[in-house]
Amino acid sequence: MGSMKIVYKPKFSFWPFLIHTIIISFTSYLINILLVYIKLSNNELGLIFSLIALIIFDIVSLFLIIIYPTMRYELRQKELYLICGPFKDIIEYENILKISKTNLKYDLSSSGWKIPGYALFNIYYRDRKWVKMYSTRLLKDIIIIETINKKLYGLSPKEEMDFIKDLEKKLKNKNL
Amino acid sequence: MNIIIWSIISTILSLLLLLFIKDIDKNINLKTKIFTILISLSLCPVVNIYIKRPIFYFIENFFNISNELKNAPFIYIIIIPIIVSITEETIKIFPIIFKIINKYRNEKNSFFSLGFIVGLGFGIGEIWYLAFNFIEYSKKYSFFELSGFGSERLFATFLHGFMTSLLFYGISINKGLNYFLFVIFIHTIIDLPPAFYQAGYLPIYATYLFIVIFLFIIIKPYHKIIEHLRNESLEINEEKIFFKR
Repeated sequence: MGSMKIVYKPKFSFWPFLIHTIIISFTSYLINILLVYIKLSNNELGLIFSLIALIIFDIVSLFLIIIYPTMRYELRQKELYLICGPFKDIIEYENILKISKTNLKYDLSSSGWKIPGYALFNIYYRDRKWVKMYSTRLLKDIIIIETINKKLYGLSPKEEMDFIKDLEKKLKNKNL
Repeated sequence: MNIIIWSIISTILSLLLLLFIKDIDKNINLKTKIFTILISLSLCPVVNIYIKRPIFYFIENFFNISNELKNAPFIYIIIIPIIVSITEETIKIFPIIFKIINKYRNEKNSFFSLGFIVGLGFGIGEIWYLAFNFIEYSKKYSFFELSGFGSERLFATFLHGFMTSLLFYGISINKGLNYFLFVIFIHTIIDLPPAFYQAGYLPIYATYLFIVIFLFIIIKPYHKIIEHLRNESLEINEEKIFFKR
């Protein structure tokens, strides 16, 4: 039974689907216009750069919304898996120092993908510094897992209390 | 009309830049912030009409230099950004004469924030000053073609906020002159590529690329300063602990 795992999903929000649809539609529209302008301007280099940047942004947006529903947290035998599409973080139970729930403070200058209802990758928050997010909430009621190497992970499981209870069971089972 | 729409977009996005300095200081009330931004809005038109324009008019007439940069000597193309930097950075100090702003002079967090607000106000004033100056000229361009104006103005407004916050920070720690010279240097560096573009030495995308690269270079150290100042006044939200080792 070594591969037994308990899977928790976050509560998916409607907002990322709407926001991504708007972003993808708008960038696709701009791409079409740019193609016309590039033709008219005899392949001006600046416009070609803009076109490439827009296409990359369009593809990234599409990719991120495709992987959004795959976000999940897996409690396995020895580790907690945080998964979203091809992105994965593994936290060994023995490395967990603290589990808490808090509201985070937004920072405009941060990197990462952060829109209402979708927070992914390393995101800088004013109060907690860098937090690796696998969450369908950006700021409110985030479960923070702190590890012994001072890394922070942000989660938002749908069945929050069940997730915490199961995680605590795993931590106790390890007798740490 | 398209340039007005882009100006409105840039202004709204510029105001969102205030989120950068959120939580740095809680002493400054909303009234002071609104007053600071309103006063700063007038700085750009004032410096352009009453200071820069007469200076350039004098230089061009005295030395018989063409006001078309494409026909101007190379040295003049370098002098322009220096004059622009000195005059603009000097006028940005002007709001300090108001007691409502000056009373924070010895508080570095507050003064840094107020400096950012002054720079932002200056930048927004510049958006509208340029928009009204180019309103006739811009009519031949489509909304899409003017997107460069919108994004370039947003970058410029951020850079004004960046430079003025450093300047005010310097004043608050009694190193005003050092920071003033540093800010003038930075401002000159930023303004050189657009001047070269207008003179026909650089293509537009190279100018734009320079500004983007410059932003990438400064954002990290600037963020460090903001983080340092914020740590002094930040309150951390309460947390509910489920497990602690």
